[in-house]
Amino acid sequence: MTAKLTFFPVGNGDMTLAQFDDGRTLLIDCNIRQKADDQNDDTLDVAGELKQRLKRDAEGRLHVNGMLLSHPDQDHCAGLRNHFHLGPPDTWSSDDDKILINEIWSSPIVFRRASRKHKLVPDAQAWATEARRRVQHYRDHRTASAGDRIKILGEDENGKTDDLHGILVRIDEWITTIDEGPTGSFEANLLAPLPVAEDEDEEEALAKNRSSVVLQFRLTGDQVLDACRYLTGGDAEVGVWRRLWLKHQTNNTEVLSYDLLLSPHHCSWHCLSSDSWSELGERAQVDPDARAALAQTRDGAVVIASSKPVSDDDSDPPCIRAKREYITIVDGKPDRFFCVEDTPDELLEFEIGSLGPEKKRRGLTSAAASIGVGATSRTPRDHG
Amino acid sequence: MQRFERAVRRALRTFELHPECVSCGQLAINNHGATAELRLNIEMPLKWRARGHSPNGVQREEVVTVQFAPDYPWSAPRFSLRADFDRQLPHIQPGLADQPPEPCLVYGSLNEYFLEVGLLSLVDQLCLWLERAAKGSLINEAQGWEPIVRNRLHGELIMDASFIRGLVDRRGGCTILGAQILRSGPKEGGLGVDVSVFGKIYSDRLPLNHSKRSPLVGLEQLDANHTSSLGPAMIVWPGRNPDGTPIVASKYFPETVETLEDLLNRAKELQCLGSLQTSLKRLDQVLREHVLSVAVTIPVVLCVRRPFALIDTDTTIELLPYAFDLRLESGRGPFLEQRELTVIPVSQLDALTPHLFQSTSRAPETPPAAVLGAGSVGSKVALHLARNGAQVLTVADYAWLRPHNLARHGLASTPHGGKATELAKALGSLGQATEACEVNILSALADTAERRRLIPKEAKLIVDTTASLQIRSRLSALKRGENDPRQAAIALFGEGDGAYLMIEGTDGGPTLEDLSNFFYAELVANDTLREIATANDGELRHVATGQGCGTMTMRMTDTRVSAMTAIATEQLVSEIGEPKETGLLLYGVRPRGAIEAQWKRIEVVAPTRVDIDGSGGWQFRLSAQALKAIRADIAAYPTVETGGILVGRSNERLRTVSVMDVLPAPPKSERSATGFILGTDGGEEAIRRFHDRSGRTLWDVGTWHSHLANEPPSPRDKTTAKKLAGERPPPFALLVVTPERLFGLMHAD
Repeated sequence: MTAKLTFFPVGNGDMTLAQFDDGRTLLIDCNIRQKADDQNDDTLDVAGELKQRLKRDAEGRLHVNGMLLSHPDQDHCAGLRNHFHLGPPDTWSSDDDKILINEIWSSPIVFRRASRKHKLVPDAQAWATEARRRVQHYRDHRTASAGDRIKILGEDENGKTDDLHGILVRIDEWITTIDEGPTGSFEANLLAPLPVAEDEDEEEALAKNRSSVVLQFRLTGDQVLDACRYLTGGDAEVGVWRRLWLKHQTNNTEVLSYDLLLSPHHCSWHCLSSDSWSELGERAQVDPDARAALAQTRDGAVVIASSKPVSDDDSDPPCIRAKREYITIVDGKPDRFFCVEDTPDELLEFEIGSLGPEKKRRGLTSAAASIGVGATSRTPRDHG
Repeated sequence: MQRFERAVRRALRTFELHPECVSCGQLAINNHGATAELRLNIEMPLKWRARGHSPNGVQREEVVTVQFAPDYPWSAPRFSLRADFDRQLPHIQPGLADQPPEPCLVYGSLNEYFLEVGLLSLVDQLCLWLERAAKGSLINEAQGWEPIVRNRLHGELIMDASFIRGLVDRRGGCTILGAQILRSGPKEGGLGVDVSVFGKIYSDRLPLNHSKRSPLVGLEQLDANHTSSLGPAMIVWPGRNPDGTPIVASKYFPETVETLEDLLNRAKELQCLGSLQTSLKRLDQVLREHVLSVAVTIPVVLCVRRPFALIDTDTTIELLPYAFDLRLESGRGPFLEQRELTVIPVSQLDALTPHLFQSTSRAPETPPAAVLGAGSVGSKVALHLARNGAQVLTVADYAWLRPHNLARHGLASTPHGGKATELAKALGSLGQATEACEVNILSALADTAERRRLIPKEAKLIVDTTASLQIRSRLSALKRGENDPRQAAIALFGEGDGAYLMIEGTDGGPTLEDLSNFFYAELVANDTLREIATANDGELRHVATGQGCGTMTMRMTDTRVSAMTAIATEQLVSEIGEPKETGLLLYGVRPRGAIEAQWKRIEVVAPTRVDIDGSGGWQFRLSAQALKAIRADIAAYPTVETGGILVGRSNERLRTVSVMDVLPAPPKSERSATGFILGTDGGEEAIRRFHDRSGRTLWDVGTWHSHLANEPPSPRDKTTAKKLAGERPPPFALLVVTPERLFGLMHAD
């Protein structure tokens, strides 16, 4: 099947579905807001859209082969408890019909106790509980089937991952399989979360944004390996990108290259600069190293902002100045910068063929909407 | 006009609603219709998107001209592309060079598509077309290779496409076949201008040699505007690459050939120039001495290997036929030097062949068949098989077609000819070379030479449609080897409310006779079947349509015969491809008042054969059901001898006693370790009941009893056999069932 990357319009939040060419799926974050679940609200039913793209397994369970939570913030895991099955797979119920996550990809932050800088919203807590359950399952059995599988992305500072050899992915290692499937449909290079630097406060390092998983995916398209590179980094901020550049600039800038970049932290200025946009405005300076890390474009590369529409004001994120910087990165071409909320009624999809990624044509679904199908009953109509 | 203009303006507003529509305007309206300009955003791989165009020149933003005919919205708007759009792409309507290219958006009628899906889908299809054009994926393997679009042609050539494709070998080369050409137009006229050609390429090679005799034979001036000729047709194909792989033309070229120069260039592009030049030079040499006052048209067919199968076919070889006029004037030079000589592309029509029907119907491949019986069922079966693309080698029937036969016969020909002969003629018009055998099938089957004619050695399938039990027995009696044809039978019963199909098993599986007996056993169990198949007096009504049966008295419509015969033939075709040791019995019965028949499919395992001692060659054929019942009875009486009544049918001609079932021993039977005495109370009544339920086709054919050890029939058994033989007409046989063996016993006459 055709490999695809689908970006859901979820406001300032992330929700991306990778469908590999072998049919396996990886959901990266989710932000299923209440209003998206409300039938009486116009907000796109992203959970419904997601479910349409998933398959049922032999036992009739709708499932994703993998789900990555880049970091445990509300705008990256909202709706988790409502729409995903958490707990042992044998407790899945057809009445609830929730999505089974065959394999969880999680940063080691789930081992952290709550602290001043590490407060978790209920969905994030649920994720952490589920991740710990699966880690314990691994410790007990050293093997797992769908619904119990987990990969831990990055080592924990306090040695809590030392015994997790079979499920641990260390920084700079490649992930080549998902849900114990075959190799060949993708490779993903784990770039972050980076270990605590000497000059870094540990609490700071463990702050949720700082702990975001950064991955470069190399996806196979129509049997061509590495047809598309996708760089995604949750809410990783300027310091992370700066360090990544300093680490790789000499010998390995390829690991940061991309055809598609999900602009980190919803097109936030804080990923490109240490200065405050709201305070300094145009005087704020771009961090050249962070920018370089985010500027390793391949031919025709595009940048995607998973955020509210970017407005020309002092709000951040999304930040107009960041958008301008990204457009500069993509050769000054505004049509190579996409914001998912520019078309809030539809998904932004890229199909990956042998010639690389291609934005999917906006088709008849949106045409039907624009032609006014259903408009008759959209608002009360007075009749005299 | 106002109405038209309003409709067009509405269309433009609708176009603008398409998400990929950048703008729509520049409306111009006149009496001939309206045009507008549509700007569309075309998605393409990101690297080309950034560049603003694909390598083949499709723009990120394409301008398309929309034309509305005055009858819009009764017809679809037409789209045309920029004049400089790449015309080398497939799925472009071939038009004149000064006309803007038109994309071929849908497979079929654009008007129909438009009426079905509306304007927005049309724009969507246009965007998709342009996206595919950008990526060079207008032709894709999933859809199949699109043959070169060649409209506005001035000629047609009929040929056996599968034969011509079969000539294409890896070595590459050319073959010269005979062709009959009708040239239509003024004597001095030009091809494609005022002259068109219609012809047929035969599947016979035409040797070209330097004899004084012209290869252009049969040249005939029919009238001022028509010439007929029998001459050569050049078939040309490419060979292999240096690495040994066959040359495949993966690039699509639109049809642009107008001159000999163009044709040679096209052959060069398709890598078969050498073969074409060789064949043309040869023609030139042979004709050098000949002078003719009229032009003769010579067809050329380039056979091109494509990377995958052509749309809706299973062949990868595309045939590109052309034609040119040869004017053999005195003092002329070599015509290969006449580079400006007009060459026209002509269309290729398939000759009427079984292969054409098979590829058109997509019916499963059916082995060459001999059809016995050319009555209403046989004629329909033969025509169905032929139209499916099966070869019908022979049809056999000795009867003549009478006026009343035409009420239900597959033919609509004048009566009074032989049924087989008339049917063979009709099959001939479907491209078959069927031999009519006006013989008595029964006696022909008994005679080796006659049988060979009836069932030629190429036949791999015999379809008996005679419904004659004698013929079926005779067929079942034929000795068969591995290469002998499989036998099948199709017949109707119950005034067409019932039909069955039987296919014998391979390798000694059930014969048609066995399957018939199995069908009779079904009557016992299936009430609906029995009701349809038996007459009011409870006897099996003889099958409706068969050789020699009185069809005049059979009340049945043609539609009934067609409905049941069609399904039975369809099933025959779908089942016959897979050789199976089990036989097939498929029967359909339409319950009273119902619209459709209910069909039941039964795979019948080969009967167990037991030679009957002292009988002079008789044999038990025990059905699986009968044996199962016997074993169950023995299991119930493990310590004593037990037994029962065998019911089935015996066949004097085949010397078989077919046991389809057993009736339990009457209650007062006596079982002991040393013997079994079959009681009499209720036995006769049970047999009669069974006999009636079987449409009086099955009866008591013997008894069975068990021996506790593996011992053959005892003297006591032999006495009983003798006694039974004396009391009722033979054959009547005893079956002795021991733990490991079965024994048959019959008293010799």
